[in-house]
Amino acid sequence: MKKALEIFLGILTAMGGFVEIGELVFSVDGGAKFGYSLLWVVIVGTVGIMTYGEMSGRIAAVTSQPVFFLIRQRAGYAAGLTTLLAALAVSLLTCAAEIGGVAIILKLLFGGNYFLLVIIALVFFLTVVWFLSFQAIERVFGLLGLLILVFVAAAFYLDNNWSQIASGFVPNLPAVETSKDYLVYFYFVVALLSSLMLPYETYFYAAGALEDGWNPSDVNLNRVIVIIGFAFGALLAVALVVVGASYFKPMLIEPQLPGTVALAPASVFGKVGLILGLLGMFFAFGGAAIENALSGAYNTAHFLGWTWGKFRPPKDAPRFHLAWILIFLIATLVILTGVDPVQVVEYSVIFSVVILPLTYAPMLSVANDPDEMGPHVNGILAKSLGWFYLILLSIAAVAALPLLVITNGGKG
Amino acid sequence: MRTRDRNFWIQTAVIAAVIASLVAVFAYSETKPLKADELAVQIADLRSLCSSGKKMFEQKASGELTDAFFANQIELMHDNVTSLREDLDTSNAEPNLRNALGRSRELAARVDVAFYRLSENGLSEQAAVEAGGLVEPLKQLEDQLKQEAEK
Repeated sequence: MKKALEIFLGILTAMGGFVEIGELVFSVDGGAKFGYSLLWVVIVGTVGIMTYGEMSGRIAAVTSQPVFFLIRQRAGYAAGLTTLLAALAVSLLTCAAEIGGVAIILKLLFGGNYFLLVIIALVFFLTVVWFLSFQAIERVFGLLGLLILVFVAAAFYLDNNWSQIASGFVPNLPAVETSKDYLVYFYFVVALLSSLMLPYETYFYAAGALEDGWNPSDVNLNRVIVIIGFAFGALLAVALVVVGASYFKPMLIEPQLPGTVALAPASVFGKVGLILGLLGMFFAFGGAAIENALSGAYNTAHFLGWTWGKFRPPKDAPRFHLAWILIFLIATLVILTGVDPVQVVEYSVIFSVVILPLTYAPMLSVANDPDEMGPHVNGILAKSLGWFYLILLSIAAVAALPLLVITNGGKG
Repeated sequence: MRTRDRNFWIQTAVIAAVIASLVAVFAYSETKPLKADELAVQIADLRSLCSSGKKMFEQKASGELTDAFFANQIELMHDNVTSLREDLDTSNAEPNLRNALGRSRELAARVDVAFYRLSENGLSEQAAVEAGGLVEPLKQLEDQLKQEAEK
């Protein structure tokens, strides 16, 4: 009974924590620009994050070693340090964007000065992470993030053009006005793929497995949580693309603000839909901000061999606790400069794809190693999918920055 | 000079060169005249904001939005409009785009006024109609600029 509850909560938490501000913006904006043509990317990205999420959880359960310890071991100190610095930069930018997103949601709910709300959001996050346990943070934000399911209900009411929706799951090129629009489409393909496979998701998931004390007997639990939780999470991403295509595209609206996205559930469910959508975004963005700050601290501690763990009181792991506090503070300073959080997340998502192969290559190497993994070594399916995504992400990593520049950040 | 020292100076020089190149590219992109596709991007943003403003007014009128949401979302959108208008006012465009830039500035000023009115009075139907009425001319200008960019 206890195991079943753990699986159920794990699935819901994985699902509720699936969406963050980057995915929200890219999914809805992508739908508004290209209709259903990007739906296949959601499937490709979801299978990718399932593949590497499952691998990271299995490695943690079997070897009891964190991701960045293994990266350092496999890739060497110099390459490992480069990956760590890049991962930290991306976590910092993503955390900054999520804090800005939370401040925007607070402003839309209650009003007030944006910069003051950024400070309030910082105090809220520091308090939550300081006082709540890892499991409580994961569950509270994961489960309340499920409020964002209101977008699935809205998509269902707004659009029942099932044959057109189904055709979007097959890789395709959309009908566009100019040849440059194809480049914008490929930019969105790369960005959406990256936002679905953000590296912090695997860092945080593996660190969570270690915090929860997983061992080889949890390998199946890991598999069920990742596959079912992420599959339901993908449903949210699909709903966001459908909302963009069916609600915003006909009105020539390309939503760039989280508040604009909330107009869709409001149009179906009135003020209740609006409030549920905004609260769902609050917890989804808030959860992602915390996961990024903690991921940065975990990664640094794992790489440098510090004592780490949310389960340890600050006096027993002072550098780890100082690290996540510093990440929150620096991320807040970035947002207080007045930069647009949505622009920040767009850059962080694109830079993420550049570091994804650096993160996943050592992970695949460990999971393929029978000496390290014993009977839990990658099977033929995990190995094939692992190589396929590593190659795909390497191509995306090479294309990401040129596409960012050529398409003016995906605007045309 | 020892190999280690030489490598250090080579790496420092490469990093400095990369940073200098990035600064130069950024400075150039900030000051160079706008091309047709870059101008089209700004017009597309204005078009999207206008259409959102009109839709929000309709949703507010039918009781789907809270007062706090409407007022604060319009304020955020107005900030974006003002920023776009200021960018257009201070930008140069390539010589063949002077007329299009002038038209862009004129439309941006009208969008700014419409959003100012909406932020002052969320029940101003006149401001919502004005914002909605600008969607079509902005779309036409955007399409014209995209065609220009294709040439």
